[in-house]
Amino acid sequence: MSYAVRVVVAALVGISVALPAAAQNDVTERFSRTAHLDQNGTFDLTNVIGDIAITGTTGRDVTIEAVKRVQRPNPRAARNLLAMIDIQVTEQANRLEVRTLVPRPRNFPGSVDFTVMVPEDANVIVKTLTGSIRASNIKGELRADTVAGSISASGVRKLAALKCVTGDVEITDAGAEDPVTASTVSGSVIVRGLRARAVQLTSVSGNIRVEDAQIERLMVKTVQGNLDYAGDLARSGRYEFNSHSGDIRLVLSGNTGFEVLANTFSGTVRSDFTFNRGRRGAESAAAQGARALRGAFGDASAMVALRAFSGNISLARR
Amino acid sequence: MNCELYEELLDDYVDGVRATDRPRDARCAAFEQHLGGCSRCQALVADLSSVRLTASTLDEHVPPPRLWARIASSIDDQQRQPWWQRQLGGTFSAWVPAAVAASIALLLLAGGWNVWEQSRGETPQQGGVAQPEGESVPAEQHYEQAIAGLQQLADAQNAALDPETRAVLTKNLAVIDRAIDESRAALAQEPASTLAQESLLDALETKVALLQDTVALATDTGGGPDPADLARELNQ
Repeated sequence: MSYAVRVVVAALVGISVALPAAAQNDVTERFSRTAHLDQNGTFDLTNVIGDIAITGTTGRDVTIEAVKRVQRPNPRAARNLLAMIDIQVTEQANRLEVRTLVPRPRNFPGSVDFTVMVPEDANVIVKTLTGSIRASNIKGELRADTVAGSISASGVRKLAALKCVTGDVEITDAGAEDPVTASTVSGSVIVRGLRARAVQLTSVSGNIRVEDAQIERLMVKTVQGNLDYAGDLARSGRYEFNSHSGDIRLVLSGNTGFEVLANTFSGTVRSDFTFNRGRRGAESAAAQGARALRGAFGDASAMVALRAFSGNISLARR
Repeated sequence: MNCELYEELLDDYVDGVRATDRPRDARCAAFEQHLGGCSRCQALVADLSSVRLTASTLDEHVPPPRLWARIASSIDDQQRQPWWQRQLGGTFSAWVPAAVAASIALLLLAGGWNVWEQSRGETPQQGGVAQPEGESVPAEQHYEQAIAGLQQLADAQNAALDPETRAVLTKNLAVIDRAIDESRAALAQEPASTLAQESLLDALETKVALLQDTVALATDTGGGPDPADLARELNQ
């Protein structure tokens, strides 16, 4: 093939690839609304498709900025579809509800991206079918739920429940007084700097990692993923880690004493710690590479239960 | 078996209280010792723990302001409907899957209670069949019943989910099924293994939770009419 023919073929291929993309008409429309919430009010947003970013700020105003978007080859069809997206805002009894309504939520070829500022003490409930949720600097309670998308919460003071199916959950520098749950089906859960009394983290096939947290009761569970915990234990804390086929790895800092009960059916248990007999009169620590380990370290004030089926278990010093 | 002696301690145990927390209460230590060798109590603890876990994940529902508007409009509509239509209720079908899923959760709860009631007596209830210890796990049977019901619902509702989410859920159900199979194989190999039994119950519990989520998702996303104008626009 001559050089000229090759150039022509390459150009034709390039044009055929670029044409469909260029043919899409991206039609957008902005939506803007300001409302008021008194102290400890509730902001409740349900979206269908699109990302949501919510930030807590000073003042009592809620500002809602949204961008409706539809991509279709035919510009008239795109405009008509855009007109079908309805954002309804309802205010009542210190509660602000925002709902995105589209005729056929599962198949609708459009999206709405929200950027919201709320008073920092507001309680926030946010849900979407497809899209990611980012919440930051919220001092009220936060509940977030998405099916296909990730959730990230940072600087949240009353974390309550984060739930997604196909995305990751990331919690950074957060706190809670009441029990916290964070779950995903196929994604990972990553927790850094969480202060809470009771926390439950679950995934089916994803990994779960907890770093530098101060949690009194922690339950971490996955079927296939690995579980990692790095940091100190709380005095009198209770920690439970269950994985079927994933590994469980604890890298502990600080001097908090703990009692450990570790079991794996077909994996191995390894530890850097030298254990004494437990407070319950437990048998002495098992040999390295065994399938079970029970013993106490220091004053044994915390309790650590580790259970895997085929995964390995390891305890190390940081 | 003296399971009934420990009835009062069961709730605390499921809540995480251990003998080490109550060094002066000898019954706690006795219960933990008993629990180590009693498969009925082990199954019960696993069952109640799963109920507790499920209950803790339920959303708190606050009636939204829009609800009152809908109720008012629905009352108006009902008054205009013929009596037979009012009796049947127009929105009944949309609530069926969620209601059935909730019923299954209740059955699971009732099953857990039933296991506990049975475990209190040394002899089986009248008309019941004694189950030799170690041969069968009552909690497992309850989970299997719940899974069968939920699976049927999930299969019927699956079409309402988008293909990607459906694929992820199917893949993860397969992961759980593998864990169930491996645990069962381990139990067949070592019938006395508490670890294998716990792994099996854990995997079954996870499957129940995922199927409940699947049904709830399908119910949430499947609704809504499909207007002809949308179909027309989509074809352009």
